[in-house]
Amino acid sequence: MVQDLGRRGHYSEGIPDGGAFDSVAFKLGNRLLGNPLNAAGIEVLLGGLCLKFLERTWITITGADLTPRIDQSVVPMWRTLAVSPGQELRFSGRRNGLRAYVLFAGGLEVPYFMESRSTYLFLGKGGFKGRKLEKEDVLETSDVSWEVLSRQIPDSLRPIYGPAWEFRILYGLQYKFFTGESLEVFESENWLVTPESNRMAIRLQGQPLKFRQPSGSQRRGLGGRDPSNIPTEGNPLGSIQCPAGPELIVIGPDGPCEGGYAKIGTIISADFFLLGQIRPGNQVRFRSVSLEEAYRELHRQKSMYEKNLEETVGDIR
Amino acid sequence: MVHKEPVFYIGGDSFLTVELGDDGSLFLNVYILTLEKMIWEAKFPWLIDTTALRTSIMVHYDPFMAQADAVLEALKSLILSGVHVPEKVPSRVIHLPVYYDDPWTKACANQHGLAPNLEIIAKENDISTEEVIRIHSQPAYFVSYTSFMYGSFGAFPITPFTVLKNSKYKVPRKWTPSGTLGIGGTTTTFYSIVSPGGLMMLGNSPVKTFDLDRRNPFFRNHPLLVHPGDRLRFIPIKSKEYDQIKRHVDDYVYEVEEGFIDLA
Repeated sequence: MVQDLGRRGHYSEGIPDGGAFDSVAFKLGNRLLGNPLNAAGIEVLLGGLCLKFLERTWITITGADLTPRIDQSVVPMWRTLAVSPGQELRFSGRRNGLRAYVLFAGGLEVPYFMESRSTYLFLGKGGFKGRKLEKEDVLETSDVSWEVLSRQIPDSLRPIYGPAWEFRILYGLQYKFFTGESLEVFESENWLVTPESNRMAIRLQGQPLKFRQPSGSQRRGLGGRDPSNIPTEGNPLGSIQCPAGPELIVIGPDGPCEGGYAKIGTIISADFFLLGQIRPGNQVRFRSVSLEEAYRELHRQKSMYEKNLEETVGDIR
Repeated sequence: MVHKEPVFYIGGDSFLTVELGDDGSLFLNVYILTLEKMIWEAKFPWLIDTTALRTSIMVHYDPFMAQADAVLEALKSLILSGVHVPEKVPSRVIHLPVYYDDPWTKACANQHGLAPNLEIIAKENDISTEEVIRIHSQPAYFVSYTSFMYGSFGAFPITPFTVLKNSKYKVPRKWTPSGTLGIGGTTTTFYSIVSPGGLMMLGNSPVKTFDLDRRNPFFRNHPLLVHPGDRLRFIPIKSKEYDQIKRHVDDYVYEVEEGFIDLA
């Protein structure tokens, strides 16, 4: 479906930010093409896409390696590709990750919904007619006033998608509700990604975490009787909700803006994009870090987009 | 009651939650909405978004503009500089027709292996379903938040009311019909879009609470019916009236009165 980097500032109206789940792959792809980082492209889940080009243009494919092919040949990812009318792009098998991004010189031309071109399926708005792409949809790109260069993202800047998945987190919110032992379990458990995961939330299964005895404050009673119940409060992106059972619910880009379960902590912003690449059956671990480390990583990641990209010789057809 | 000192919670490296009190009262809610307005008026360069709820406000900030400690300090001094809750607060009263004990929520409950939820509540409180409807539709409600989903609201009674004992679903529903009114504790919530859910279902409203395509002229100026700070009255209707409104939903004339809440 069509995504850009999402919208901001509509939580009070119940509209989450949305946008490309793996925003790092998305931004790097747009950089390659010389696009604004926010130019709209296609988020491809597990290769369910076949595109036929109607005009000559430049594209790039980033994110999960789903073995992209143009006509018969497998084409390299993370570099600009010139495509001609009649050529077809398909995906022929997952090698790593879950979501690939197809980005186009100039970006896709679809109407804005609340300042963004991202598809918000829950409301059926944004992107291409508010829905997933279907057979015979015709997409248009914006005009390109610059020369697209033949270049690629150096290996050192490409994200690594597994096989081990570790997410750095910051404790906070209701982490004091949990027993010390449970915090250890939280960081030592291999959490299993379940098939109910999607852009709203990633659901993980493991050992149930234990709560301390409710303090008996009014605050607890207001949200519900179980110790995992709290009065509804805002859900940060990447926050980890803990209902009473053995499941954790990690809030994704299309996730609910508020919720009433205790939250043990939040995935650091620099690692959030990787959530978009784990798939059912993967196991993930959490490791707590300090706020300083979280901010350091965020700045390191941002500097990635400012580095020089490698020029390549010729282009691939 | 408002906390003497606000309590801050770290929500990762870009969000901060401020708990302002713990009783979810009308005063606390008006205090929170007043503070939320102050936060926007302060024009902090790092401010991205705010989410006000019954006891707290979550602030989304740009970590490249400010880090958690700076945001915390700025919010703390804003709060300690004084949040002046007006004695008279403008607040509209919106009438919302509700078909209590409707066939759609009953069918939904049935599909999830449960009795009609209104019967469950009636049994738990040892009264009839008619009595549950009467108790629920009697008070005026204050809209605390609308962040559950687009067109939704979370509201609680503000005029004298009888508490209806109720509990949430042990296993949340896979889906809830759109237009469903749900109850969780003292909060009444509206499911404007088909979605999973865990609150007991009371009934269904035939009217739109949002209209992004602006088909009903009421939405000419804004696509949402309900905003935080509004008051609601739930008007019980029967199947005939429900069908009638539903058939002409884009011509439905909303009953909205301008008014004030007196906190003095």
